[in-house]
This record gives sequence, structure tokens and C-alpha cells, in this order.
Amino acid sequence: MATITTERPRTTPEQAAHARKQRVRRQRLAPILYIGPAFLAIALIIGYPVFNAIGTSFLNASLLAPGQDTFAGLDNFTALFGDPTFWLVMGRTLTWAGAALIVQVGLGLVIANTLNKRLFARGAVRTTLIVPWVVPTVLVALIWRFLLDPVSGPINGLLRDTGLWENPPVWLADTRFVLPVLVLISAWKWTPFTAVILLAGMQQIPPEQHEAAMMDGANAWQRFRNVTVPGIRTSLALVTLTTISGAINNFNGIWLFTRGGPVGATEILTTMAYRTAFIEFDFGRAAAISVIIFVMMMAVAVVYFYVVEGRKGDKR
Amino acid sequence: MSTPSPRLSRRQLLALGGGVASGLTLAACGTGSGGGGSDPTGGGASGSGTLELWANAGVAGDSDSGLQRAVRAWGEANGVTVNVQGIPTQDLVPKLTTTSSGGSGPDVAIVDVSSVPQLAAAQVLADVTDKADAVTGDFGDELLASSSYDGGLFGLPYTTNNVGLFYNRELLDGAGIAVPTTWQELRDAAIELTGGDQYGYMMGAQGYGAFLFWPWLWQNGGTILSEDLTTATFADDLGQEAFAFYSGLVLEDKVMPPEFVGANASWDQYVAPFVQGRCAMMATGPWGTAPIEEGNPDLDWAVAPLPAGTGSASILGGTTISVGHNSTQSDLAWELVSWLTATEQMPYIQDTGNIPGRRDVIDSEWTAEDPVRQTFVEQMEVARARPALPIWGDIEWGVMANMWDAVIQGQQAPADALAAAAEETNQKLSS
Amino acid sequence: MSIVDETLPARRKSPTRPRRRERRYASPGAHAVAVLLLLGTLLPFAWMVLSSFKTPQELNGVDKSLFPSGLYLGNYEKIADTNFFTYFANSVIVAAATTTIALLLAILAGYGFARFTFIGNRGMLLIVVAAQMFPAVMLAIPLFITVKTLGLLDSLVGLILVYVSFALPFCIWLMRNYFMAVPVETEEAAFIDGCSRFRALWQVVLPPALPGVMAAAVFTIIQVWEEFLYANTFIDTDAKRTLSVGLNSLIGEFTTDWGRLLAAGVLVMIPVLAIFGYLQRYVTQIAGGGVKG
Repeated sequence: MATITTERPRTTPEQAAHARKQRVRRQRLAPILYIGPAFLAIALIIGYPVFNAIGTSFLNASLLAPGQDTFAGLDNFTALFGDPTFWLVMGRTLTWAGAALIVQVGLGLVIANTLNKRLFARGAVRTTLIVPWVVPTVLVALIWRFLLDPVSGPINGLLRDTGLWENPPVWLADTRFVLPVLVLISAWKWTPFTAVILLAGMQQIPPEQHEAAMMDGANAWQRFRNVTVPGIRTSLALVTLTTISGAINNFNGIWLFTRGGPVGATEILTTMAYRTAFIEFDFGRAAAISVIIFVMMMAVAVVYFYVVEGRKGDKR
Repeated sequence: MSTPSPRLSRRQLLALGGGVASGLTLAACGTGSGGGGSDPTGGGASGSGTLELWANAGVAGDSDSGLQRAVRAWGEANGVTVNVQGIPTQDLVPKLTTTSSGGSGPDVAIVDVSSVPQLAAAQVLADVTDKADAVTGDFGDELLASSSYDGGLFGLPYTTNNVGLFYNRELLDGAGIAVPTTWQELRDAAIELTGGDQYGYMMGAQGYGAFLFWPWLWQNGGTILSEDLTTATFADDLGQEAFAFYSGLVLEDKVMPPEFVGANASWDQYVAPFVQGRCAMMATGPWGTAPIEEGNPDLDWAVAPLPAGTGSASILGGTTISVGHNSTQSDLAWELVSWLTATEQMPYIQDTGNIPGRRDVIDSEWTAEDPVRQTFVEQMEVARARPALPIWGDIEWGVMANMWDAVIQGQQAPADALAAAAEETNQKLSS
Repeated sequence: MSIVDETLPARRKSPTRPRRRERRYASPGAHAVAVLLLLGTLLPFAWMVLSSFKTPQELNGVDKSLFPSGLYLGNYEKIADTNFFTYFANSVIVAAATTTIALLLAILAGYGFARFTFIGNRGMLLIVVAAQMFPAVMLAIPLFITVKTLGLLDSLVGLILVYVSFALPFCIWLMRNYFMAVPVETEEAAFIDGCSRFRALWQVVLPPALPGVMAAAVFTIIQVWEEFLYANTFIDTDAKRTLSVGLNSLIGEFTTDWGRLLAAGVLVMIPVLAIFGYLQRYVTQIAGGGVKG
């Protein structure tokens, strides 16, 4: 690459002016050189499939009739919008994302606030609390299936033995409990990530602010409310973005446990898209669901960009 | 803790870089080994003496399973490397369709008979009607029908099975109950055997419950679809009667272990209460044998034909072995398929405890050696195939599975649920 | 490297550190909360470890006991029948290669987004971030065709390429935020010394942003470690499967050797704990760039 040149000797003003001109010219090319490789990789690998999938959403495309796709216009979308099940699933997806947000941010704040204190063996505590995040979902599903086993699982065993609940439910098969249970399991895995980001935000707050508040006689809750929370606003915005988009796009966290069942009690848009594509083989419809998910995610991302990045940009 | 801004020393960075470089070398090695997998056209065969065979993980087994030993023997004799890939059942159909619609896929596939029509329609499996002409006489008509779609043959029967009544002899004898042979006897026995932490009969949830309903429907003289496969008939009077009996075992008689509502992901979950000795009877296929023998060798159990209604019936299952639609070596692949299904190779299947699909094996003395096997072979005469519909998976594991769960979760009355499911099925059939 | 130390604002904060160190440990209440959180995190793993020593009869409920009767090692012995260690090695290889390539590209692009004003800068950034948000389920088939066209099916290289592309958006965004926090004067000083921009990036701008690099690395490693769908779709050969797919392939429709699976799960956790025990100090810095207001 031409830009990797070694130190230039000190030069005359003319030469310096020439060099500046060159740099300006290079400046125009520079963004391409720097951003190009990454952009190319993204465009090559993600670009075509995304456009292909968006295109498919306007087709009658069934895997059961390969090579016989026909243009469908907006049929896939109107069919979805006219289907009460779709709206049920949409509602559940939003509930799922909302619940994930509340649980993961709430618990994340507790974890981050705890880790931000001078704890005994803080390094070990921090490592331990992060561990669920690095466990593959396949393994998370295995662990929780055993914990929640209705007969030999320790949770139901404990409930029975202590007499708290004589006939505890089959957690993963009971329409009343299965969604909250999956929210909690998925929070078990993902809250550490939330906590890490919130913790990083808390560490940006100068300790002087806490000390000043303490001198003013603020108690722990007031300090948390008035110093910590305002200080981590940007972290909060970031975890809101990642948690919502992570929850809406979560597939393994549901499919590996319930495949959307029982009676669709855990069906969200991603599992619906998968079912439509690979069980019903209706690729056009599945692509339309994906495009709808994509639009929802874009909306979340755009809001985030304008709220957080926009503000940041103004400051500079 | 103000962040201590950890900076990597140059040495650390170099070490990191070195590690990465070796990682890349390893990655390159990883791609090279593994036989024909490095074929640039990907997935399929390379034409250089390599075949890809995909089967569900259970059939593929580990390196000394019957299938893998058989395939190795053929490969050595013919100078062909056959890579056997075991894929979990629930991933097999999506993976086959994804790779096929991308223009590749395996040379040989062993799939569940219930997915043959959809895999045939999706051009995953090749039409082998002409190739198989010489050998079709070796297999029973019902088995060939379950490997067919739309007038074409899309594979040869590899293994076959059906569903029988497993019962705990100790529990039945202890209560002085004879093995039930009719619906009423089954019901009475199940009620009698239920008490405390002991239960009379096991049911499945979701698709397992739907799958196990069909024999009762047939036994009552009902049918799933009209003969031209355009209308659902499973909710007519005969169907409703059968379903009332079937769901009544759950809703009225309550003879199931409570955890049956969670038996929705694997047969393991379904078989568990029986293996534990807590459940006296269950309807399942030969695959129920291994978990009992391995999990509880002391259990005293046996298999009887399913109790009969106005007639006898069981449900036909099993696997089909076929050539991949996109295989570039379909002739070689067919050679392997026909070799694997020839008489001489049957011991490889027999060793696994499965029943091969060949007539000569089914009619041989081997079936009489084991009473469990004999029961299943005898039942083959009344075992029926499910409709050869590409959207069958969606009907059984979508519509019917949801319907059944709604019933056992108490969300819908059985008669209404079944009628609604028939209507939904009709919609799917007409679209 | 002297420029770095003089211009880094973070360094100036250091006088506050000794004062904080003098403080006593947090209240017993905070420790109680920490213990609760630890229990919630650890008990599920403890159950997995305990169960991995159960005999088949204890696992399938024939022998009713919450705890294993002895130290049964059969489940661990049976792992030898599987390709488990190959799966593990594959995951490590893919994670290491993906992380390195993604970071190199992301450093360049992140710097480009942070330092150059050009038309569509923000729009392009938005596209880059949005691209990774398309539901993976729907991309499987077209992506399969892409990978096939490149001749990289059933190869770890193809998987690495795909993972790099999906890891890039977040890494770029993270690096951009970190670079924006590095004052422009830093490299202008280097330009005056006759340093080219490219060299200034690596020698002057990158060092203060290294926490960001580490954070991006951690994030990428976890993403790769976790990924299931593409690995399952693009890899056919058992010996090339990654850990998620490999573990999942041990689960069957008919009978699953749960004991073996549990034992494999325990073995997975050991190196994971070792690696993240070391990396955890960098993990909290993920947000550093994203969070700095």
C-alpha cells in the first residue's frame, strides 16, 4: 500500500505545499481505502442474501415447487396482515421483547451496581457472573431442561418436597408458564452482557460525584437514582437497543426449548418465519415475515441513532 | 475502579498474531482432511470416488453402527469413500431442503417415510422408478407406497416399523389384568392400574399425540383424507368417535402421568414413565425397546398388538433410502442404495434391532426368534401409511399437533378442536 | 509511544485511584446480593456437574435420587466415542481466525468512519449496522448459494468468511466510537513528525483504543462460539462441525445419551472458564466506546 512510507525528510515550503495537496487528494480516496475492505466483505456476504430475501418476499415461492416462482406483489404481506394469528404472534413478540428488556435491564442494573462496589474477591465474582453469557445456547437448553424436568428435576423436586407446590407444573409445556420461564432462562444467559455494558457506564462516572452526593446526605438508593442512573444514560440506551433487537431476533432461545409450542404459546416472529419456511415450505411468506422483522429492527436502530448518536454528534 | 487502560505490549501482540497464523494453518489443514469434502463444487459428490450419505443421527449411529460398517464394506470393495453424516431428525429435513434448493445436497439420503412426499416434491430426492424396476418385487406394496409420491418411486424401503402396545407384565399380572385386546379393555385396565404415583397409560404431546391418534381413527373405520387427498375426513362421525375415546383417556379417565403434556420433543420423554416402571402401558414402536433394555434391564415387559376397535390397525413408519436429486453421481449412488437393500446386507440392519423392509427377511425365521419383533411383523399386515402429501409434515406436526395440545391443555373441547383442525386442513389442501 | 502517554486524557484521571483503593469493602448487604447472584449463576452449572456423574438409571429416573450415588465416570468415558474434541478445536480455530480478520478490517473501517467526513457517512454506518439485523433464518438459503459459488461449502474457511461479515458491523461501530474518543490532535502531532496516516493509525491512534479492540474481540468470540444455524447449514462433515452443532448432533429423536451430553457440557465449561477468567477485565470495556458520551 502506497501510504506505508517511511519518514519523510524535512522539506522546503514548496514541497510541503505539494505534499499537502497530495494529502488532500488522498483524503478523498482515503475513506474508500479504509472502509472499502470491510464494506466489500459485508456487501458480498450479507448484501446479496438480504436483497435476495427481500425480493423473495414479493414472490409466490414454495420449496415444494422449485423453479416455479411467480411474482406476487404484496400478496404475502396482505395475507399476513389479514391473518389474526400473525397479529397474535406480533403481539407476543413485542411482549417477549418488552419482558426481556425489563428483566434483563433490571437484573443487569442490580448486577452492575453490585460489581461496581468493592466486593471481596471482585475479580472472581465478576468472572463467575459473566459465565452464562459465554455458554452456547445449545448447552443452556440442556442445562435448563434438566433443571426443569417435571419428574427428576431439582426445581420440581424441591417444590414437592417442601410442600410449597404439591403438583408443580410441567414448566416447558404449560401454556400459563412457558413464556415467562423462557424469558427468565434467556435472561439468565443474556443479562451478564447487559450488566457488563452498564458496569462500563458506571465506571465512567467520576467517584467524586458519589462522594459529593454522600456528603449531601444522600442514601444509597438516592445516589443510585440521582447519580448512577443519569450517568449511565448512554449505556442504558445501548442495552435497550441490543436487548430489544436480540429478543426480537432470538430464535435458538425458543426453538431449542419449545419450537414455539405448546399451542403456539411461545411462537414469535422468528420461529413463525422458520416454521413457514421449513415446515410449510412457503418461502415467499417466510421472507415477508423476515422483512417485517427487519423493518422493526431498523426502526429500533434508527431511533437509537437519532437519540444517542445524534446527540453525540452535536457535542462534537 | 477507573479503567486501568490495559495496553498490550508488542510481545503480546506478536504472540497473538502468531497464534492466529497457526490457527489459519490449522484451519487450512482442517479443510483438506475429511476426504472429498474439499470438493469445490461443495456438498455433493466430486466424481472422484466419494459419496455423501446423510441420515438422521439415530440411523447413522457411531462408527461401528450397522450402517457405517455396511457402507465401509461397500466402499472398500468398490474403491469409493462414503462419508456418512448423522444429522438430528429435526434438522434433517430443513438441512436437506436448504442444500437442495442451493443446488447441492447428499448423493444418498435415508429419510423418514413420512417426509418422502415433501422431499420428493421439493426435488431433494431423485425419482428412481426406472432404476428400481428390477427390485420392487422384493418389497411389500404398502412399504413401496410409503416411498412413493405422485406415481413415482423416490427410494427403497430401508427399515419399517409400526406401533404396538407395550405393557409392564409385573404391573398387569399383579393386578390380575389380562393384556387388553379391545378399546374397552384398554380403558378399564388403564383406570384400574392408575393410583398413587402409578399410571395406566401413556400419551404424547404435540406431534407425538397427533401421530399416535391415527391408529385409533383407522381402527374405528375412519380415514384421514378422502381418497383423492383433497378433503379431510378425520373429523366425520367415525373420526369424532375415535377422538372422543382417545382424548377421553386424558380428559375423563386421567390415566396418564402428569408430565405427559411435556412429552413433545423426543421419544425419550414419552418412554420415560414406562421405563421408570411408573406407567403400565404405552403405544410405541420398536424404537421403544432400546431405552427400556438400556435404561431398566430389570423391567418385565412385553409387546402386544394394539387393542382393536371395530377393526385392527397400526401406523406404518420407517425409513426410505434414496438418491439425492442433485447428486452428480446418481448411478454410483444408486449402486450403493441397491446394494444396501439387497438380501446379503440385511444382517447390518438386523443387528440394530430394526426390521428391514425386504419381504424375504420379514418372512424369514429371524422374525420369530424374538417375540417383540414377531408382534411388530404380524402387525405389518394391518399397518397403514399416512397420506402421501407434500404438506403432510405441516398437517401432522402443525395443525394436528396444535389441536392436540389445545385439547390436553384444556383450551378447547375435543369435538370442536377436531372439527376446526379438519377445516384448517381443508384450507391447506386447497391452497 | 511517548505521544500516547502525553495526550491520553484517561491517564490524567489516575490520581483518583489511590484514594479509592483506601476505601473499605462494601456493605454486608451488597455482599449478600452478590452471593445471591452467584448462587443463581452457579447452581444450574452445579446441577449439570452433579448430573454428569449419574448412572444411566439415575438419569432416566429409574433410580430416584436427586444426587448421584457415587462418582460414576461412564459418561465421560463415552465422550471418547464422539468427535467432541474435534468440534471443540474447530470452534477455537474458527473463533480465532474470525476475530483476527474481523478486527483488522474493523479497525480500518472504524477509523475511516471516525475520521473522514464524507457524504453518506452516517447513512452508510446505519446500513452497516442494519445489515446484521436481518433475521438469520431467511438468509440461510441465499447465503448457502453465495458460499457455494465461492466454493467454500463444508469448509471452515467459508464459515470464517461468513462470521467475519456478520461480526464486522458491531466491531466497526465499536471501533469508530473508540476512535472518536481519541483526540484528533494525537495523530496531527504524528503527521507533523512525517508519519503517514496509515502508520499513525497503528502506532498512535490504536494504542489508546486497545480496550475497544479487546472488547470487540470478546464480543466476536462469543458470537462465533454461539452460532448454530449457519454452522449447521454449511458444514456437512462431522469432523468439521463446530461445538454448538456437534453438541446438538448428540441429541436424537429416539434415544439420547443425556449423560454423555452432560459430561461434554462440563468439559466445554473448563476452558471457557479459563479463557474468560483471563479476559473478563477487558469485557467491561466493551461499552467504553459505545458508552462514552
